[in-house]
Amino acid sequence: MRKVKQSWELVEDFMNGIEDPVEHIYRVLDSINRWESMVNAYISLESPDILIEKAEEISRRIRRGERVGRLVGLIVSVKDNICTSFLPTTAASKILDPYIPPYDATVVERLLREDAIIVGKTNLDEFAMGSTTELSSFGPTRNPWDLDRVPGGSSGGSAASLSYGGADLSLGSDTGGSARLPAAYTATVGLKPTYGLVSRYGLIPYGNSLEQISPMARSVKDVALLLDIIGGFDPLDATSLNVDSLNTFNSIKADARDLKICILKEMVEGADSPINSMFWKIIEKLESEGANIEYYSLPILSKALPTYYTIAFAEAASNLARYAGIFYPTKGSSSSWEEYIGESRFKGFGREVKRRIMLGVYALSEGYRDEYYVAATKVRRVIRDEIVKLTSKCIIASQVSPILPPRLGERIDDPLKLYYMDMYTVVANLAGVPALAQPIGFHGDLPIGIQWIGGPLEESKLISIGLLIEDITGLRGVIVD
Amino acid sequence: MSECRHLDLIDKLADLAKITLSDEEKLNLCRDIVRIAEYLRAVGEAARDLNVDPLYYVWDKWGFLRDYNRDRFIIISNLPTKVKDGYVIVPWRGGKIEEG
Repeated sequence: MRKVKQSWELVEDFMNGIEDPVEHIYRVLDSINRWESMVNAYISLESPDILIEKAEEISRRIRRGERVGRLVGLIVSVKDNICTSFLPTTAASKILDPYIPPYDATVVERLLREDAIIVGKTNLDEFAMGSTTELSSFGPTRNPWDLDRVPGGSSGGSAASLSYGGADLSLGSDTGGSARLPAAYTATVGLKPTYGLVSRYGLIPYGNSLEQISPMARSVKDVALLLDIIGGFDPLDATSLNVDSLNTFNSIKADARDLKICILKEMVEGADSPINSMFWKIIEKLESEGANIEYYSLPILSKALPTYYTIAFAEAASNLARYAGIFYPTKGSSSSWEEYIGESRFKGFGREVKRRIMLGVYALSEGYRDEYYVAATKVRRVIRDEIVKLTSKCIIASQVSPILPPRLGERIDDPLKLYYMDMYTVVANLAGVPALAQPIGFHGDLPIGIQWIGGPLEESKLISIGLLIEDITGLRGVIVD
Repeated sequence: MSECRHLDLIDKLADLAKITLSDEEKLNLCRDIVRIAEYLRAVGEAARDLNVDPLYYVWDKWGFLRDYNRDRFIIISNLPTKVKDGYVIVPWRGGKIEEG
């Protein structure tokens, strides 16, 4: 393990002539060359010539004293379910390979406006449906901390690219923990924003009432830097919140004595022992420094996982109906319309996607709808009400995952075992509230994370507490050596 | 193919989902889907115990939405029968609108 500069520090050093964006891009390309054949974090990479040319142009602009953006010279990786007009966007599915969207997602436009350099598109579970990044049509991503293990998912490519130094910042997406779980498994930081805070325009939809594009980085302050740029109102997203500009970057480190932390029995029970002991060590440390810790039980949370999956499946079935072999690359060959569609979906979708679509159809079918989808919307409302009520009083602390990063292939054959990995993360998506995952330690070489959940639009509070935890653990800007 | 008793259901779902399946896929999906559906059934039981209507928040109460399209907004106060306790009733999701 070694430590590198945080992205915001790099920007300052670029501006002060201490670091050069061209030398930096060469460093990042070296890391990619060294690691990528083992890790498979990227589905597509921008040509090195183009990247170097961009870095040279940025370097010239800085030397001339021209106005530059807040991400000047930083290398950003983007999850491959976020549309880019200059690189293919496949969502790790054969059905979209090699689709190049005619437009950039709003978040991508905002990155480019701030002079970020987009290095490539990162691997994910197909259509973000998974928790390990093994379910990609482009092969699994491996965890740089232990190449026999998964990096978590579905934003595993984004997390892996950060943890081996193949990017400074990354965009993931989080439908049920897809940014937070990989963050916990790779000693990086992932923040799922309040629903509606970050535009979903250009995000290939899976579960649209649950998902948010999520900033990922190697430190809490870098996540805040990225959130401030991608967040805020977008007229192209009907669910966009009326928030003009964000300033989480300037959030001040929390004072433990001012903290009120709630621990929910249902969100800490059931985790493996190394995860448990690391979690309680941090909580005890905070308590010893004056934090007020309160313990609650919300029995309804025992139904969070089936509620989440019922809604996610139903939304997936609806969202993925568009892939009918007409507008997108994978097509059928039959002259019968019905067979043509069935064939293109047979060829294009992977096993888990087919499973989720069919379960979504089941949950929405006449005769089953009330028992499944309608019931899930009811339970979701109760969960949301309870979480919003509780987070008005305190920040919720929980584990991120009940298990350490599994070995490749260990969980993939049992869908329920895969879904179980999301048991602590889905709550924030059901409630639409923000949640931050950050590293708190290692068990051997394997990173362990903690999760903080706040009330709607309380991202700054999460950043403040995240800064405090970084000071306690010293885990900031960590990469694999 | 006789290892799963619910292949008829899988055929129906595949037809509705417009997905052609190989025999092997059909068998695997049959086993998985029946098992997962059984797990998800807990939601129906929980909803019955909670006895809650699927009502939704009135968004503009939170002041989160832009008002530049305000002329296109539905004014909730003009629809008293469609709001209950500050929530919007959504009939197609099972909420009942009281007549009269």
